[in-house]
Amino acid sequence: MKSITQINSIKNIIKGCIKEDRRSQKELYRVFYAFSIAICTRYANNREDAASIMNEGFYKIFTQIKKFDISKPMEPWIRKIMTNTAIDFYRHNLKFAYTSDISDYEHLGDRYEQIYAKLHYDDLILMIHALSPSYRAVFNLYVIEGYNHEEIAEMLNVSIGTSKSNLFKARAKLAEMVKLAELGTNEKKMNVEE
Amino acid sequence: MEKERKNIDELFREGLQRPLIPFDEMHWQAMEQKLERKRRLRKTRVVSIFVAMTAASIAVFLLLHIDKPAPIRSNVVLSKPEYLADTAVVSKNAKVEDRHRIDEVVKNRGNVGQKENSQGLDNKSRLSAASEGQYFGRGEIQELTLAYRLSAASLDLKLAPAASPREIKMQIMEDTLFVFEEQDQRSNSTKQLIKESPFKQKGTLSALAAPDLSNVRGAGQYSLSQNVGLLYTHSLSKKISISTGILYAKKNYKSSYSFYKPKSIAEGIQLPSDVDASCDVIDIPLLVNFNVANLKKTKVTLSAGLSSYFMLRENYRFSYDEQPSYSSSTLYNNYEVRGENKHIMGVADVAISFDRQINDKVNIGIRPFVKLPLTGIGYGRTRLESKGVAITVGLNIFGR
Repeated sequence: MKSITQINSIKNIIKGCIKEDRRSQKELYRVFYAFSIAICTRYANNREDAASIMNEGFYKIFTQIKKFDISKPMEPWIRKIMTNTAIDFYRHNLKFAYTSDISDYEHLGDRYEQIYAKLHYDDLILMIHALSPSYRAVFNLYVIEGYNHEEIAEMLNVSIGTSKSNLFKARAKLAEMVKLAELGTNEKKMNVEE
Repeated sequence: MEKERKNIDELFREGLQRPLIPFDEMHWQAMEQKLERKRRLRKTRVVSIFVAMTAASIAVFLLLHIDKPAPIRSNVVLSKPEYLADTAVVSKNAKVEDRHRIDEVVKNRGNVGQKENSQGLDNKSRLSAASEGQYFGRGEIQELTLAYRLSAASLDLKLAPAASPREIKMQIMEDTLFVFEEQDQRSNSTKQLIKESPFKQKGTLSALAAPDLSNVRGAGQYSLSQNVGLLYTHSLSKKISISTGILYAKKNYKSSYSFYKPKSIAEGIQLPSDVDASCDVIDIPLLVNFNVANLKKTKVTLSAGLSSYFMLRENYRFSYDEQPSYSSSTLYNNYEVRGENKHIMGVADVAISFDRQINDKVNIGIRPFVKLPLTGIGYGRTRLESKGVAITVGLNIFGR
C-alpha cells in the first residue's frame, strides 16, 4: 500500500513526464523498474530480451502518459502495457520459437544449495524460461495475470483448446522441473549431512 | 492431480511476486537513447513535412507563373526628332491602357527636353532668344504666346527638334516591366535609359532559416541540423551579384569513429566505436550569384562560393563496444571543445534560389543548397556535408 506522500510524488513525476521532462521520466522508470522487468522477464527468453521488452513498454508509457487518468493507480496500467508489449514480442518472435526438452533442465538442482523448503525467484524464472514461448505465454497469462482461456486465445491468436492444452503441458513440465530441482536439493542436503 | 496443479500455480504465483531486482543504469541508458532517437525522428518528420509542404506550395505557386513568360503587350518606337514633344509609333495592337501609359512616358520625356531648352530663362529673355532664332519646346511656345497674347508665328518661335536624331525603343510588358533604349543615330551608340524591373534592387538583405541533413561523407548516417541567419546580396550587374552574411548552424552528425582523424590521439587508449556529434557553428558564406532566369516576378539564381566555419562549441559523445578502463560505469564518454577550430573558406557552397517578388520591398524564396567540405571539419577533421532547403525572406534595403 502506497502512502499519500508516495502517491503525490508519483503524480508529480507523471506531470513531469507529460512535459517530457527527462528527469521525471527517469524517476518513473526507476520507481517501476523492478515491477516492470519482473513482468517482462516472465515472458522473455532471457534478461536482454526482457530489458528490450520493458524499454518498449516504457516508451509506450512515456508517449501515451497524457492519456493516463492520474486519479487511478498506475500499476495496473503499467502491468497491462508491459503484458501487451510482451505478447507483441511473443507474436513477433513466434517463428523463432523452440520446444525445450525437460532433460535440459536437470542441472537446475545444482543451483539450490541454500534452498530447502522453497524455491528461489531466480530458479522459478529459470524454469519459466525453460518452457517454450507458447507454453510460457499461456502459463503467465492464466496463472500469474489471471486472464481466462477465452481472453488468452484472443490475445495469442490461438484456439481456446490450444490455450488449455498449452497450460496443461506447461504445468506438467514445470511440475517435473520442480520435482527434479527438489530431488537435486535433497541429494545435496543428504551429501552434506553424510 | 488437482492438488499438484494448485501447488504449481501457487508456487509460481507467490514465488514470482515482487522480486527484489536492483535498478540497472544500463537499461535506463538504452531507454534514454531510444527516447532521444524517437524525439529526433519525430522532429525530422515534422520538419520534413513542413519543408515538403512549403516547398510544394512554393513550387506549385512558381510553376503556375514561371511557365508563362511575361507577354509583350506593346512595342513602341520613338524615332522622329520631335519625339520629345509627343510623337510615338505604337503598335496597332497596343491596349488602350498601354497607350495612356506610353503617352505619359512620352510626355515626361518631352518635359525633360523642354527643360533643357529653357534653363535659366525668363519670358523676356526667351523673347530675346527668339529674335536670335533659338528653338523652343512646345510647352514654352504655348507659355509665351499666352503671356504675350500673341500667336507663335508673330513671335517667330520655332519648335525645338531633338539635339540629334534618336530612336527610343520601349516594351510594355505585363506588370509594368519597361525596357527603354535610346540610340543616337549619328554616333550609332545605344544607352539604356530606364529599366524598370521587379528585381531592380541593388542590395537585398535576406533572413534565412534552413533545416538540413548533415552527414559525414561515407558514413551513411544523416542527422537533422538547423541553420538561421542573414544574407546580404549586392547586384554587380544585370545578371551577377555577390552575397555574404552570417549564419548560425547547429550541426548534428553521427558516424563510426573510423571517419575521425583528430590531430593527436593519446597512445594506448581504447578507441570509441561510434561518435555522435553536436556542434554550434558560425557559417560565413561568400557567394557569387548568377541570375539564370528572370520570369515575371520570379527570379532563378544559381549561387556558388565558399563558406568559412567557425566552430563555437563541439560536443562529441563517444560510444564504446566495451567499457573503457578509465570510464567509471558506462559505455559512453563525452568530450567538448570550445572555440578551437575554424575553417576559413573550408566548405564549398552551391545553391539555387527561386525568389518570388511580393511587393517593391519584399521577396520570398526557397533555396535548395549543398555544402561540401574542402577540408576536415572540427576536432575529428571529418568530411562534414550538409544538404538542405532554406526558406528566405528578402528585403530590398535601398528601396526602388
